[in-house]
Amino acid sequence: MRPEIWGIDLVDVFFRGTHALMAAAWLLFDFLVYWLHFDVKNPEIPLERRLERARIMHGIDQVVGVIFLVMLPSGIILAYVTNTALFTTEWLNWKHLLFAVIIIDALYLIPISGTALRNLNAIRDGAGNVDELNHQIRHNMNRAMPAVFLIWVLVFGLSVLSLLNLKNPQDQEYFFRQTAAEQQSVLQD
Amino acid sequence: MWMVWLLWLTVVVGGIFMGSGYAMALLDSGFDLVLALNAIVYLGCSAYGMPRLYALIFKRSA
Repeated sequence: MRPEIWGIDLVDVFFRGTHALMAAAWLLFDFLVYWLHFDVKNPEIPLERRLERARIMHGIDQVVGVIFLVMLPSGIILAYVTNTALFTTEWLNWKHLLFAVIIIDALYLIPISGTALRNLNAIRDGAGNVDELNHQIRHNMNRAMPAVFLIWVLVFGLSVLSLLNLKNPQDQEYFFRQTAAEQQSVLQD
Repeated sequence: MWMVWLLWLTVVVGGIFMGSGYAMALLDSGFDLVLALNAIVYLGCSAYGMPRLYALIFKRSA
């Protein structure tokens, strides 16, 4: 017996909510990082401002990283809570495959991330090869862009897959799903 | 540093769990492209992460 308030299964709603909020936060923070990167890679902007942006970007990137890594265990728990077979549910298999592509994408991005902050710190400390360091920042960030865009598309795809296939909690309805009673009446008409 | 640990632990442990789960589902239900791709990719990610996690453990304890 799970705890309930007004017929709402709290465990179910908690894990669904956490998983959905994590996906939303992932995209939101990723957009913030994308917005910040324009200033970081621009050598025309004062160094102190670039460094400040790079530090913020690095911090947000760490949050994104944690969300990304916790997404898999939270999804596994959610499947358990909602009685969804983990390896034999067709839509979930597709979702796992898209997530696996994101993992590969992230493994590609890891060596690139962190270069900006390191190079900007070197420039502040008086490195001689400023142009080369700036070029490396710009080059690496531009190289990362297709992988970043791919992650956005895949996260969006994962969200749509979930919305179209998730199970209704018992006795609860969502606006985008027909309930069994409505489906029955449509069939009878 | 904790992020690096979290990353490689998740990639290796998650990869083994998901990959072996899909491999077993493949054995149980016969060939299916999505199951096979999942098994290959997750086990591949796990294999990729293993030397990094190994280096992390032994470099830290050395």
